[in-house]
Amino acid sequence: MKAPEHPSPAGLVGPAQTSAAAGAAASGAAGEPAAHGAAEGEPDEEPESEPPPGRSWVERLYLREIASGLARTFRHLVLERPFTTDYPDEQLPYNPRARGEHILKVDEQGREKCVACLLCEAACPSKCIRIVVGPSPWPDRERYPVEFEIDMLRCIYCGYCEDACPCDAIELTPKPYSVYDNREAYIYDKEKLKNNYPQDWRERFSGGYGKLTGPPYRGEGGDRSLIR
Amino acid sequence: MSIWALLVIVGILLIVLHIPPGMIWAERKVAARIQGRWGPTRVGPFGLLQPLADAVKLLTKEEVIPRGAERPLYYMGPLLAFVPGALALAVVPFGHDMRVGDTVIQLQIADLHVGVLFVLALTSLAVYGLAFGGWSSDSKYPLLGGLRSSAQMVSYEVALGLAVVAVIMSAGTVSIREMVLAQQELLFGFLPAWNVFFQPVAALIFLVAAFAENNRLPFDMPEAEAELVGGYHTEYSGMKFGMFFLGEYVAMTVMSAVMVSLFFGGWGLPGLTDPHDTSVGNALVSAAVFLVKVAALLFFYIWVRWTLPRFRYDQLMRLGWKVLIPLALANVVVTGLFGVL
Amino acid sequence: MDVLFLVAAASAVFCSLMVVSRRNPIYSAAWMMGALASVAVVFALLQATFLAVIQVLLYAGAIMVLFLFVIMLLNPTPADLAREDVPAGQRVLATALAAVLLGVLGWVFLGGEPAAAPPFADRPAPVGFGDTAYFGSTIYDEYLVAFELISLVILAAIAAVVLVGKRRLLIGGIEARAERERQLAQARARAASGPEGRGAERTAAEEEPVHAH
Repeated sequence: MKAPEHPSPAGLVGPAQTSAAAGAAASGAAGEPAAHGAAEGEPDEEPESEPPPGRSWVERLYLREIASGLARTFRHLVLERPFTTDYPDEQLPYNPRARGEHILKVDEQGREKCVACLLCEAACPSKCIRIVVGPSPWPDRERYPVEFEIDMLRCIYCGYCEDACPCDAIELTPKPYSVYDNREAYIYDKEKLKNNYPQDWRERFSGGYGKLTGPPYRGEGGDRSLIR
Repeated sequence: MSIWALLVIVGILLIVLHIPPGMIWAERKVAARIQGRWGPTRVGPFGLLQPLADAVKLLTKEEVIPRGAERPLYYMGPLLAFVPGALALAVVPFGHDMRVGDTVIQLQIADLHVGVLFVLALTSLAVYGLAFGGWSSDSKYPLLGGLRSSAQMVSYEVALGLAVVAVIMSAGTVSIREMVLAQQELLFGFLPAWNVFFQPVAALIFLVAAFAENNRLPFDMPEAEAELVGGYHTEYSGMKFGMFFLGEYVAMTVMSAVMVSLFFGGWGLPGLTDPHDTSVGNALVSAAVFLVKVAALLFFYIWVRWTLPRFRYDQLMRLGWKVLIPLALANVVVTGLFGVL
Repeated sequence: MDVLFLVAAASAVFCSLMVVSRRNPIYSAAWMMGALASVAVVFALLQATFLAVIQVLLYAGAIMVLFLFVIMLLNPTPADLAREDVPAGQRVLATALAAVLLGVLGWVFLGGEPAAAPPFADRPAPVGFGDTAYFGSTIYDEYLVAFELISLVILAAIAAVVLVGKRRLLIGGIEARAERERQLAQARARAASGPEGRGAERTAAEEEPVHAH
């Protein structure tokens, strides 16, 4: 047993051993209850917030602190360049892995990769995908989507459709959500989805959309390299 | 009343009415740059037309009046916050006299021989705007804001007045015009004989009390947005809110102008202005010097606002009653002793 | 000048009437400000600029703010304001006294021998009358003793207010102190009566370090 070697709590040990421990505990604690008692005793008195002890009155004027604070803000005012971007003229790039609007991918001949398996429609938790299946006009597959619509107002940008797709045909790009003035415009049809991520958007991300090249963007304020 | 006096009045009015928009712009710009932002950039070059956009917004905004509001006082609040403060500028000299032909024009609306007291009297009225506005809104936050403002302003008025008393004692006059004239000489050949060098304690007390009188951070208890939503003007909208806003900036301008006149030599700057010269050029230069000084103090207001945190209410009262007022009293006594010796 | 005087005087009378006739004390306070300002204008017209400014500075700027402060703190509800607790005879007595006062003032100013000429017409104002310097020398040279006596009276009043207002606080503080000492004695007694477990031991040890030895 190791217990006897440890210093015991003041309350548990006998009177002979208390002297040192209790003395220490009391000296530390005695001030506190007394202060509380005083506050309770005079209910109408405003709680006096005593300045921290050990400071001379010169220090408690806080003139030096105020001056240094003013100097700091002045430095910010004159020397520091603002951190913010001039949105919307300047925009920070999104993380290439950010989930924005969808794109229907196409192969080298401009045909959509989709084979209308309906897995994305099944996987979608918000039921925003509507596919009309038809026989494929091309020999390398049996079916293709005659119509492919996504209701962007219903979509929650979870990316499950992308996970479900067996032939890498649907993908969430970092393109942020668009704004229109009528609800119909939010229902993207096949043509719009195929061209939803034009070239200038591609150029925004050096690694190309959807590909993670280099370290991910962490979005920490203060990274000046992101401000153009 | 001569045509010249009328011109001076109109000119001063124009200047004074243009300070608040400039202040709004400066406040937003300085605040933004201190916080690492750009501030207004969209409206006009450097966002300079932003105050105009703000004004248009305030004027065209719907005015919502709380159902339980006491209408007459509710309407009076913004007016009382704005008008008395602006009136106080009547006794502040904006520049040195200028002689056109045979007439000597004072760049001052009225040279009252109770000058400083007139300013104190009118600025002490500004509290009614906040108190009435706060009370008549029939809402708890404005009521608390109004209560705080009346307690705070009455407390700090005492310190402000006592600081001014010391200056009056050392200057030997109550007229602001004569005080400014008395500060035009040089001290030891290089230091301008400004009162701030004779009365540094009074200047410090006046500065602190002026911040409290104008409800500016670190003493903006009456609006303390973190705890009182907007304080006394919570229930105000549209141009009535705008009047409170303007009133605050006009009051700051008045305080700065008075402080420049009392402590920082008014329109004078040794080397630039000549107190014995009454030419038009000298007068215009002196007016420019005065405005630059006022602008510097107004910048200081903004600068402090975005640097210091807000005081707690009991700290504010303790500072006012237990530090500033005894200090100001002691300062008066010491000044008196110097005067006797 | 006479027109200005009449306007200011009429405004002062009207505001005063509004002060006493408003049911809501906040409005009374607001009208009171108007009355004070009107009187200040009258002072200014009589060349008593200092008095006019002091009137605004002290009465309107400070004292009325305190009134307002108290009214806002109490914040009477409409029900409070509607309550009538004026003693029955008070209205009659007040009206009678007001009539007597009005009559005496009217007799002094309008009829009777003393008012054959406008009051004080034979005593023109001295040079510099109303001026700050004149005012100061009047108070501090001619009437110094009276002035200081008045300030002594005011000081006594302030001291009395502090005594009355803070008495409860003083006595409350004494009682709280007695209560604390009683609790301490109890704890001490518990500790002395033998070990009753950890909690009692500890409180005793913390509160009275000397006795723990």
